[in-house]
Amino acid sequence: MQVTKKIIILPLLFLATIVYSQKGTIRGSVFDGETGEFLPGVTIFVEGTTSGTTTDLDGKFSLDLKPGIYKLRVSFVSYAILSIDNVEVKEGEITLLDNLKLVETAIKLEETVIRASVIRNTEAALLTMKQKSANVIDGISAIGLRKIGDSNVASSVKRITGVSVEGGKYVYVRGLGDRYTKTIMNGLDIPGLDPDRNTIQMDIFPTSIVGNIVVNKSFSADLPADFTGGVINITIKDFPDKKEANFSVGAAYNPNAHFNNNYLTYEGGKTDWLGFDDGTRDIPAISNIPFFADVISQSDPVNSTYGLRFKEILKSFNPIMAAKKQKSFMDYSIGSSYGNQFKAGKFTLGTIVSLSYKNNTDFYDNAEYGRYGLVSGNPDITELEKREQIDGSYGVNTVLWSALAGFALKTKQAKYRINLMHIQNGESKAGIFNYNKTNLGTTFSGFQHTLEYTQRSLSNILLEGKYATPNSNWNIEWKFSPTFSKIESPDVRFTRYEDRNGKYSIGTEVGFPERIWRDLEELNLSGALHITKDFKIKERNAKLKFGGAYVFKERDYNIRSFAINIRGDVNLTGDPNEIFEEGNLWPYMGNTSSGTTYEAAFIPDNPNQYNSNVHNAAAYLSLELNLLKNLKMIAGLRVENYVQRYTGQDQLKENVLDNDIVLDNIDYFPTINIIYNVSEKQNLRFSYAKTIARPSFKELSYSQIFDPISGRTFIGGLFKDENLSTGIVYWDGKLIKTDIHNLDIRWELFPGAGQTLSISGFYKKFINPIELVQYARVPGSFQPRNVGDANVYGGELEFRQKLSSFASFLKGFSLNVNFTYTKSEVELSEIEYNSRVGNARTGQTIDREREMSGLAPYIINAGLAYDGGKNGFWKDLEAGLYYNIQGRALQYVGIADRPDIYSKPFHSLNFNGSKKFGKKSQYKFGLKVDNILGQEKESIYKSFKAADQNYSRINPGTTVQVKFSYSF
Amino acid sequence: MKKHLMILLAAILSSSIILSSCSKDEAEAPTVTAPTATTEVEEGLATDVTFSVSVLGGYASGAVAAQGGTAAIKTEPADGATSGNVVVTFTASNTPGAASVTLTVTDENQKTHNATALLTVKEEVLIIPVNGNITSNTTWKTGKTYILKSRIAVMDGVTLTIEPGVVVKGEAGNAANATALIVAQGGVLEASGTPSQPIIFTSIADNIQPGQIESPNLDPSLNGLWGGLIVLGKAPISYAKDGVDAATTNIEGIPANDPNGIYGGDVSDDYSGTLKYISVRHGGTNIGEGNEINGLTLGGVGSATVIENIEIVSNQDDGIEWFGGTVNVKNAIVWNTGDDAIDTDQAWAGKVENIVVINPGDKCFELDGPEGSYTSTGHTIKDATVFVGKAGGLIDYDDNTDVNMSNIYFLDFDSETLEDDGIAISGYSGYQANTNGFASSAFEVTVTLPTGVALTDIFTGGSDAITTEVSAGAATVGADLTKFANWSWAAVAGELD
Repeated sequence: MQVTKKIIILPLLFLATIVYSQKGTIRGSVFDGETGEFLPGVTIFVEGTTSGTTTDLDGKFSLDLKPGIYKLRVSFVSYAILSIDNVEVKEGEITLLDNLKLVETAIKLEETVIRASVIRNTEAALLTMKQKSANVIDGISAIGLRKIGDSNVASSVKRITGVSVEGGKYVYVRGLGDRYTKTIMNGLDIPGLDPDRNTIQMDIFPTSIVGNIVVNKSFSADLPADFTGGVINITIKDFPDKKEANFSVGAAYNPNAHFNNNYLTYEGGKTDWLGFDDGTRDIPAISNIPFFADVISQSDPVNSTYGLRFKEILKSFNPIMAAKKQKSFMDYSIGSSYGNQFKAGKFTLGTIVSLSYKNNTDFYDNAEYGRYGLVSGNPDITELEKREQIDGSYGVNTVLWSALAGFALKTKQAKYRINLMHIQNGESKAGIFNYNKTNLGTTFSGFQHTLEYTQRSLSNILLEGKYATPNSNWNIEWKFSPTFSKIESPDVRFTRYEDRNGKYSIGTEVGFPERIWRDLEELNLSGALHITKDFKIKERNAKLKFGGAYVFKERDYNIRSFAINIRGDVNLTGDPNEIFEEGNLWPYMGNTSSGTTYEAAFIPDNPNQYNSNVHNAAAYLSLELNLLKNLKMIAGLRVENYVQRYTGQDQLKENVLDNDIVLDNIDYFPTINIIYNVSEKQNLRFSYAKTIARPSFKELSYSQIFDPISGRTFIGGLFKDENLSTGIVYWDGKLIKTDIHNLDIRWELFPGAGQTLSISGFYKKFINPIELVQYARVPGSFQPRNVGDANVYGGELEFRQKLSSFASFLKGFSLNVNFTYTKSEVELSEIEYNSRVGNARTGQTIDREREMSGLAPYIINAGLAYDGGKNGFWKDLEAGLYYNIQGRALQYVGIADRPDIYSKPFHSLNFNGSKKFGKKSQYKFGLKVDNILGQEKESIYKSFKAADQNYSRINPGTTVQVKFSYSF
Repeated sequence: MKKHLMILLAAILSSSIILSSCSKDEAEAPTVTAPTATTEVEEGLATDVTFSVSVLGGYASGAVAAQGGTAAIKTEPADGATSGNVVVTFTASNTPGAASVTLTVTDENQKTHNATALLTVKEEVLIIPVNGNITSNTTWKTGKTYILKSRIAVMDGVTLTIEPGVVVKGEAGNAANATALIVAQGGVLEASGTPSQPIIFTSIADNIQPGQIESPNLDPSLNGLWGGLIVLGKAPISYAKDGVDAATTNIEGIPANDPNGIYGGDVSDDYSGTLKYISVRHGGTNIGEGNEINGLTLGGVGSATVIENIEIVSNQDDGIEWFGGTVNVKNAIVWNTGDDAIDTDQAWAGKVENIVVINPGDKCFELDGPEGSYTSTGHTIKDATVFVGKAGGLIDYDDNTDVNMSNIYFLDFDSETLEDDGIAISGYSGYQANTNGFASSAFEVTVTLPTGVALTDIFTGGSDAITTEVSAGAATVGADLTKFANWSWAAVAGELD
């Protein structure tokens, strides 16, 4: 409530501070050509006037001048003076001089002047940062984001070297899955929206609010230590350079999904379009729930207190169980953002407000899910046998909106910021599938309807302060950010009929209908303090950085489910809505043995309820030295004390934990990064660091979570797996952390003008990595376990080239290609090895190693972009063709007679173009085509000398999107 | 607080003993302390009462007297001991009310002291909750009702004796809260009912009292109200894990991570107890993931185990299911199951004789063979009468089904199911082609075929060759229905008439 109030007040506040002036403004920023960092305290002097200013602690400046043409001198002690000619100031307008580069000079007596004409804003700063940073980083800036025209961060981030995005949401860095990739916002931990993931989904961030995205692939002591692939830092804008007000509308059409009469949906609530349920899907009761057995034990079951309550609960179930066909609408989106900065005396005020809404409709026709296995007892048969097949169609409607309000205030020496953000996401799914199951020679067939709704919300507040001493030798920065997130899946409905020669039945062979409510709430308090001191050792720059961080997280998790039975003489027609039809509810026709009944699975004890919390306290020290003129080194040490506690119980209540410690480690994370400037445009880098991956809340639990759609069960890592009579312990229930040693080398060439060539190599050693292992005794059950140690080797190649250097008619074209290759080896545990040997087909040899699960062997990103420039016929036209592929990755590790499951490469080819119109280029029209090749997303079972069989297959189709925006 | 006081008291007491023990001869008189709390005991039952004694003159003897019952000293300190406990066993009379035990202690100097412990004799408890696994030998008494509060296992090395006429009721609960009685490997169930006093396993919803056969309130079609009875032994099973034969595995119906669900081994003549005149009703609840409990599950049960006269009424999943093992079963009646009536797996090497099946939800017989490379001599199904009703199939054979089946009589077909072509024998030709000598013979059937339906549509795959059509009452094969008279609900309800 408080949050919304502030969102309203902030813009009002700013309206009052707008001062009308006859002058124009020059704004800009200055960075150190040596380090890529922004320089505070730089003098900006306007030649021929008495006007001048100095840059603030962010290296930014602002000057109000009368309209005219000026010449600026940018100077700073021991740096060469930068002179800029022909800077035009227009009345009431802002001239941007972003990213002015100052170069340090050894010659002190003589003034070195570098002349520059007005520089167009490019990714120069980020590239310099990348070039000069001691860490291995890659990134994409606000300008880059604007240029590509992606609407959300998920589509943008995959253009970064070594980054790929799974399912349009989750980021992989260097092919390493989300267990080893971390997402932080404004440098602080943020909880994910999905309990099954360690990272946050990226498609929830609209690009309009993002300042930049930086991917750190090597560890430095000031970063959290729990990543190895990369840490992705999404920075939300604070001070827009000039007034940015923007309104946009967009629409997309997919011939598969839109205006399709076969689209599947179900009736939801009145507020589904806002991304949350209005109570239509509320659970009928969470207490005072009589069992059917309680009811019928009464002397007058129907009119007893229990009976009346039982009927009341039955009637309060939403009666819809069937998916229905309904013509679908297209995707549409609407967004608006406003940002500006103002001067009020000594203070600069910055504000940013953004609202975005998007409504997407997807339809997957002929989706397919299969379960296959090896034929037991006869190794000569290599072909896989089909055990279960589900195929059909499902429709998904996704609503995503976000609201953000940021307010920042700064003086030359201090900066404060408050940022409020809310993200709301609702996803409604409905599907109808055919079902076939074979169990020891007996075949069942039928069909199923599944209805699902998931709502996710995330509210975040960021408070930030930054101080610099006048001579800017000391820099202090603090941040504090509470986040509250919620995920609810209210009323997942699942109905499966068995079809016996046209007669429909519901029974044990195919499973009873279920209704499931899942709730997750998480509170995350995150804070950090960074102190930096710049000094000189033997005339060479050095930097000392130290600080600390603290994260507290608490999660409440709960699954409540009802098993539904339709008893007695009710004649079933195959329409799932008949189950909760009033006339079919217990007592059917007054018969107390007939009709629809429920059993609450969460009473009296609910093993799928837990509370977990984490305290993670960290401190670090990092020293940056220029050992030689061309050799820079950063060495650091971070220490983290991580304590995770769990409250919950197993099914039989044999193990009851009450805020008991399940993980308690003090870890030291040393890191060393060395950068050698071979020449001005060439770097050689080396880095070593130790990092960590820890089991998640869900993994360190006793939960057993069944997914009715995939038929898979997740078994918490605290469960032991042992055979009491043989004494064999397969899993001891002790899930521990993974230690990772990382080695990186990189050679980079920066031929200039935004062009890059880099080659990297990396090696990672995983000690006790965690993987999801299939439970041998129960088909389709998975448990996280520490498996054998793993090694990952890899290489990366990045190439950015302007094509005008090859031929003049290629002016405006640029090519951006990056390629990542990885090779992994996991030492098989004894159990897995024996299992593979036991199941080997005739002629198959089993290695002691296999590839690591979730790791893509290669990633290719390629983009051909065109920029029409500021003048001429193609003025303000930007277009690009982007290709992305991720190699075949081991998705689920096979065990026993269940073979390995791989995700198949998906060739993603997208086109993106935009053209601006109008006097001030204020109108923009964009066109985007996704999945031009019309590829299908597939996962397959692979086995020795066997034909590949489908694990899952969906067809997303090709989507054409148009977008129109107006800036004012 | 109280504990600290006690420790302090004990310390003072013991130090005073040490101080004064030097002069044993002129020691003070002994002190007897009775328990301060009133002990409760059920009528006719025994309980122990512990007195603490301090005998500075040296313990010589003790004597007890009781009111409202009888008392005897169970244990006492050694002669000459200066302190210790005297444990007295009190056996209550059959009259509820106040009672007491008085202990008199005499020391070596003939000095005496006494104290009186108070007891209350309570009325007999007829309904007894069972909250946790049975870890020591236990007897469930005739005339009483026992309530299973969760999944209860009779653990390895423990015997549970159930006397005739006992009613066992499973508490309501689904998934993790499902209730069941599991006889784990090495556990023993001695449950010998009698024709006049069968042992009944049913749901908490059932208002049945010890001594009754028919439920006073539940319809015989109600299922899934609790779990079931699961017996697990160490006899061989044919199961392959990781493509390699595994001697043991986990039983279906209870979660794989419950270690009490293991069965199988190499003890052919394993003994899991005696089950006689038992009726299991209204069970088969879902424990999650489409994993239901059978009425009677026999996993790797050995041949020394005795199972006779078993009735299963209205189980949500199968009636009786064998997973390997070597046990024989005699006189079984399965009425109104949600799924199959008789289900065999994993190379069960035993015999079931004299069977009645009434109106199963799916197959009357679901017969499978070995799953691993271990094969057995197979099983025998003999003398069965099958009231087909709305069953989903008569017999489902697989190519490797290891059954010898004979003298089966099918009758009482549902005419609508016949018209819909919904009932048949399946897999017969593949099974018949086996080279292991397994065969079925002597089937008889009484059926009125609708137009368009031939006998070969029901007795498919050549099984019509072993089938003879007989008119009602003219069958020469089938079960001896008299074995089920009086003690089974089906017989009492007239289902066999």
